[in-house]
Amino acid sequence: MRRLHQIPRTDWQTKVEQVGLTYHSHEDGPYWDESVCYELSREEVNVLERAANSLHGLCIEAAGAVIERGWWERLGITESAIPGIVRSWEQDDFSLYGRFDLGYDGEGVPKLLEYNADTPTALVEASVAQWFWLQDCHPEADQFNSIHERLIEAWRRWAGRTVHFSSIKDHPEDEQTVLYLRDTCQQAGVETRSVYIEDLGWDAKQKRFVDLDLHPVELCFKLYPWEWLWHEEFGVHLAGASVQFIEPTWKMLLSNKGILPVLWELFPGHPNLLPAFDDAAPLSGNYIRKPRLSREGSNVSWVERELLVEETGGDYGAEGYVYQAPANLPDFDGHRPVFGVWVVDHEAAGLGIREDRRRITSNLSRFVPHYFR
Amino acid sequence: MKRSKCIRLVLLGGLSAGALAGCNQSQPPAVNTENVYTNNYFVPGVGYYHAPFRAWYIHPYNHFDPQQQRYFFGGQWAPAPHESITNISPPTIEAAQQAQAQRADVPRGGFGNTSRSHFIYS
Repeated sequence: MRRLHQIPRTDWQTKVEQVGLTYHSHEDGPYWDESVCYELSREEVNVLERAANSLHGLCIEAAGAVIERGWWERLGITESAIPGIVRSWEQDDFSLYGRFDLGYDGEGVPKLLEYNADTPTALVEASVAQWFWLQDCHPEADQFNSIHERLIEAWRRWAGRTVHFSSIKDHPEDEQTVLYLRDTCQQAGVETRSVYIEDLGWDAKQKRFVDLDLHPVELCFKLYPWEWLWHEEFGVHLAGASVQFIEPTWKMLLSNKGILPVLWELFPGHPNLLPAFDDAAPLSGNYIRKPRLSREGSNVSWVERELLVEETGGDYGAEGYVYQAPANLPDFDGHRPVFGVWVVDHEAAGLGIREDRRRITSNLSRFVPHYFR
Repeated sequence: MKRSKCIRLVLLGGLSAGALAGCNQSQPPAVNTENVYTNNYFVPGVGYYHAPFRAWYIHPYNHFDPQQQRYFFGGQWAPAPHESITNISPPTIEAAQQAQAQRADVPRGGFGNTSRSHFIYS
């Protein structure tokens, strides 16, 4: 694995905007950073792919174990959500995608940092922007990235139905992500409509959600966390409505960092897992403390020899914390990459790399493209 | 080969997200005689618009009941479907008033509030 410097394409901003990556820059600089890239070997890509497939299998087993053993409290899941989760699991409701964040140095074994199973983002950059970058900059090389065609293939099962696509208002990254997913769904021959989360209506007589044109919402891709849906005003209607959301309710079990200690308990010593516990004691003062429910690295604390060495702010943590052993993240001149392996329709489908000078990856980390030979 | 053979974008890139995500209205427009409606325009709690009859009814226009072997239009059942060149019209004053009074309001805004405090995903 190598981190290589290269000259960005002329007018790269326009180039990535043209393929949907309109949110390419932070206030502090570029979020999409093609002044560097990662070169991997085929074997390294195979290792990442195998790790994600293996972890996905473990996660499915762990979700079943949580339901079977009633470990709801360990995941901080609200009681009102439990019947919906169980029903969704028993019906095997369709799951489109997820993203495993892995620590990997190219020599050891990839380790699971967390699983973004419900509302993963950084999709347009992984699936589309870096693919076009590859055509321009390294057309002779390959890339771990068949996300686009795998998404289209996954949507085909809904031919003849209508899928609604929903995100919150005034959030360009979410809107572009959902628009891209809608694009792939439409290319699969499925009828699509869109409605903002805030605009979903509740038709009390018909006991169903409706869009702004009063069309019933029966299948709905939502880029909005389940734990928020359950706690909001319309959450009371979720149990009685006929709508099927994508991602499904059972993904609440996996998007929750409480699943990390569950995985370690069920599969102790698994090479792709880091030791993780519901309390800090077994980790002898060296651990990462993560809120059970949080987003983008918020409220994460990095502790070494009982001393806090790095932490991020935020307002998460009410549902409690989990404690995970640190991974050996590679360090390229002070830049630490995290490998986000995408799973589409239950199989590993691609890779997006984000890097940061800090140890804790956050929403201000940079996305860096990759290729392999 | 682990990369996509080809990536074609139909929606993304060419149009802004906002243009596709709805028109930002918070409530459906009121029913009135200044608007025209097409056959089967549905108003919750009221029914389906039948353009030739300029009013709403419980079943869609020319709805077929296989048990009765009859078609529904304009508030009545008949052995044959109704035929009309009118597929769009304004409602009568009475129909508009009745529809507006009977419509089951669809509350909105019941989701999305938590995002105002957090606003970021993973």
